[in-house]
Amino acid sequence: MKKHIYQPIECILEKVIDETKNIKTFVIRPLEPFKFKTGQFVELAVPGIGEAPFTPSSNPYKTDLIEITIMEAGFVTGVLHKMKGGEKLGIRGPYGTSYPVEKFFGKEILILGGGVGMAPLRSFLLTLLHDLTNFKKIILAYGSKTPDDVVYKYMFPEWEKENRLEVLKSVDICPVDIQWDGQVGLVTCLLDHLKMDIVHSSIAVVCGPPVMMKFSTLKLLEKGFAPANIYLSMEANMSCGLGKCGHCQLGEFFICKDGPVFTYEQIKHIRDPFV
Amino acid sequence: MNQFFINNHNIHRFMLKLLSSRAIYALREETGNFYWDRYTTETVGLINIGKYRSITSIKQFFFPVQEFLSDIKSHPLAIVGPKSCDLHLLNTSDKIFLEGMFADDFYKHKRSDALIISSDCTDCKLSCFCTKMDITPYPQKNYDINLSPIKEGYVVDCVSNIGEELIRQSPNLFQKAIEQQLHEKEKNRKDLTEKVKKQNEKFKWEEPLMTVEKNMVSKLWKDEIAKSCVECDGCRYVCGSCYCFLLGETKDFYSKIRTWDSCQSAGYGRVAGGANPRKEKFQRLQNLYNCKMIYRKKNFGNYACSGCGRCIEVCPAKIDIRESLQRITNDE
Repeated sequence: MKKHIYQPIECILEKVIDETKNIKTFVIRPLEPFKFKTGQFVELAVPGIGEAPFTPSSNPYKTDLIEITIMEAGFVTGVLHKMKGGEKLGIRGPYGTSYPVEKFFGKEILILGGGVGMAPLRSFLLTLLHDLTNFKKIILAYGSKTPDDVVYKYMFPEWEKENRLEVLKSVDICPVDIQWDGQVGLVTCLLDHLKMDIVHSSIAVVCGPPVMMKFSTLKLLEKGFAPANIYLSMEANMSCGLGKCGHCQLGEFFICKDGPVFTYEQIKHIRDPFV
Repeated sequence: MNQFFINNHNIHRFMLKLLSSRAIYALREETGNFYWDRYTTETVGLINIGKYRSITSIKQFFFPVQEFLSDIKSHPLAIVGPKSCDLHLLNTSDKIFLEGMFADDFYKHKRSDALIISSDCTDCKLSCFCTKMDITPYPQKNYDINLSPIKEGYVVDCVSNIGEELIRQSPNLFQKAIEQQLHEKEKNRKDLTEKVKKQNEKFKWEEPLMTVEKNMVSKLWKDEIAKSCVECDGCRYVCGSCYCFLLGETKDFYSKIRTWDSCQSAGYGRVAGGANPRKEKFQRLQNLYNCKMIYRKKNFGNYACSGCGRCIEVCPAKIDIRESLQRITNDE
């Protein structure tokens, strides 16, 4: 019986998958039923250490195991990265808004990801892949720092084979001794030659580091995307997840309950929302 | 609305009666300031309802500085002497903690456990500016019973069922108020309202929302207003509408601990990896004014500031929110 709203569900860390030198995917098994919608986030607790918000990167149709891709960036993630599997963790949620997948039926969708920002987008992509016939076309444009920093390397070959899915990749820098089949340049360079009906039926879903989100949004607007058709994952340091503790405030919004998924239309009045 | 009268002697008998079912917190005067204190059967005769607002707000009764979030326990209590400004600030914390997808169990219990016996201000501090925030120095809502001091005792009115019931249960303590008593109450209220208005005459700004919104680009935020701030967080701790907290882990898997947090500290908005939406001190101060005067007003329809002036009183750098608003207005 749940005693209060901040109480976590127990879960077991089943497996840890190395993605890059500082990014790992944690496969966890909640010991009670736990369902989420793609784009929503969870609070993952390392008992006695701390809690942090993450958006699952797995397919929401799969509920027994939840995958969360995490970059080592601070205290809690540092402890998580030392884990090998078998540890007990806590999970709360899911919280916040999700990607309105049904609203996208019949449309062309651009998924634009940068770095570890690919995590929520993988969950979104897997949701779309559940029944691709619902959508006219999907473009996955993904940028990372170097070829080594690409997450989910093992999934790209599969995605590249999909008919209605076009995969574009870029890296900021490519060392000479590494083979790379994508473009070299900032992720926005992938937007230069988009084959999409932007004005009439296109949706862009963006997630990445703040500076990437900022310049991607500007470029998308320049390409003709309507502000209401640009979906942004505005994750901040959501601490309670319930719209109470105040940490994730963005203008008059609480990202944890009004977001994390916002359209640019919703937040464009806020001065410099990408920080 | 029925209004009653209770004399100075009977008010203490009424408090004694209340003590049989709940703890009583009322005010204690010390060098012109009022502090919250717990009263017992021995001290109940000394209960003070205060001339003006206390040093700290009443949010601590519902949302303690630090709280172990585990089991929910019942602690019936009566809070005697909160003022109009305190009650107004509850609008914000009530909306935050009681509404949304889920109500906060801990706040909810403490809030419903508390009987609020408020009182009119009979004087004001130099920092008081409730009238500038369209609030009166006498409570109009959010209380169970209100006491308006007059010469021989108090005019009593109640707006909640529980308040009415308590008065009904003590028919020998309360009489129906007579015209003369009501007249005295109204006169006191009017006089004090005038006094608060007069001491704030030099502040010409009117609509706080518009004042802040219009002047967000003013250079004064950075160059003057925030310059003297020493980032002590004092203003956030005494503010009765601040609800921000930090959630932490405990040894018990299912429990959490929470402590008040302040948007004025540099680490407040920082995310793992170091990015910070409000790196600069003036950005944090701007955010504070936005939160109180714009955001919460947009969310909940009420300013998250009632003009209690606690932030003015506590500030070691003498930052006065009234003056800040005046400065940015002049800068237009």
